[in-house]
Amino acid sequence: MIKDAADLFAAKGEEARGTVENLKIDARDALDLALSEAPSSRRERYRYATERIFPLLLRLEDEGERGAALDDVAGRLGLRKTDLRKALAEAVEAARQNQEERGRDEEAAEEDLGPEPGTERHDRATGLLR
Amino acid sequence: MSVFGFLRERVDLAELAGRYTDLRPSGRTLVGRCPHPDHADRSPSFHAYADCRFHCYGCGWRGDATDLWAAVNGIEPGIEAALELAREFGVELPDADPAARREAEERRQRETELLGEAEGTHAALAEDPDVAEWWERRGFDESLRRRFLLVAHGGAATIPFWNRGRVEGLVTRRLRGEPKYELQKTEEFVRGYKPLFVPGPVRAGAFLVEGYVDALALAALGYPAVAVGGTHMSGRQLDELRLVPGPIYVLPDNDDSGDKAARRWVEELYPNAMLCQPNYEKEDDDRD
Repeated sequence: MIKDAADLFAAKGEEARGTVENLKIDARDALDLALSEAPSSRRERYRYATERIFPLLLRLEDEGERGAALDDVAGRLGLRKTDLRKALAEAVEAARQNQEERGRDEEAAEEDLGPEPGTERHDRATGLLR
Repeated sequence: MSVFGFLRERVDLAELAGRYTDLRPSGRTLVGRCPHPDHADRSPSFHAYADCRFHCYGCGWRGDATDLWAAVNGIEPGIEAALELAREFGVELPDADPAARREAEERRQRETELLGEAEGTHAALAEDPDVAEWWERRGFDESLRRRFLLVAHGGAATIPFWNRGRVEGLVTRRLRGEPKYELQKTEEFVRGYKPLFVPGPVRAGAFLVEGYVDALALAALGYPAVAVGGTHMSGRQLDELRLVPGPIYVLPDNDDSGDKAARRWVEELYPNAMLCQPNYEKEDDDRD
């Protein structure tokens, strides 16, 4: 059995190019794959969209592209665009707040590295420097 | 990216070499007489490859644009040669403090040592018919073995750990027994960690695969290819991969763990990656 690209090359040599080109033609992105694996009921599809599809859409930086992708998702899953748009907007806002909080935590961690003047820790540190 | 890597991507090696020798296409390389001042090349032995490196099969001289510039101008092939080359081609180098430039120079020296090691053991391939035959059965004839410096060492196949034209480590592939692959310690890699395995030039439409020989096979066919070296991709490898222009075609092994890994990678790299179905045995005329 041909298991990988190395086996393919060993079996077919230069002729393997035809097979490789065909593999590219049938390739699908993560969104397409996720949509093809959606559950059958509408209620489950809505939850599937928020849990599985939205994390992918959040990777699309361009708002227009994200909106267009969301319309595709609504069409493929048979869900209302307005419902999905509202849920995605909430997800975008939640992601933005998470990022801000992470940024604040990182800044606080950096500030914590130096001891406060007047504290015992500060006195010990300055004592070592003399 | 180091100063040397920056120059490899921005200075056209063929254009530079073409100032000193006539290059003509030969398969997937450009070939001409060796431009090294100390080599009176009688027949065209100098090959310039698409991944910005060259090799003279007559005198053994190898390297990249900086090495070529240094040799033809009679200077040491280090940072000073790189800076001069950048000036010559009007390449604006990224700001780098002296410490970063020193680190880049040390990395380059280590890469050169590893390349020398690979060249030395390449010669041993002729004396190890088992390993040579193993490569032949995998489709790697003498010219491919020479191109990728596939070598023998202690009865095992050794693969230089290529990354965009430089050797950053060595991989041992056992012909029998487990584990199949043995890598040097992580800290012994030039960067201090295991990067992506990139045996040729990288451009849009590159394939992402698990195994080193998978990537070599695709590179031998003329495709840009990148290997992770297993099913687990490190954070640093992912960062490196995000710099590769899309689309990236993820080509999994035809087994469960390969499928799981490939799906993870396609999600991580969305929207720049596409998952190929591993229908390796489907004939061309089976398509609708």
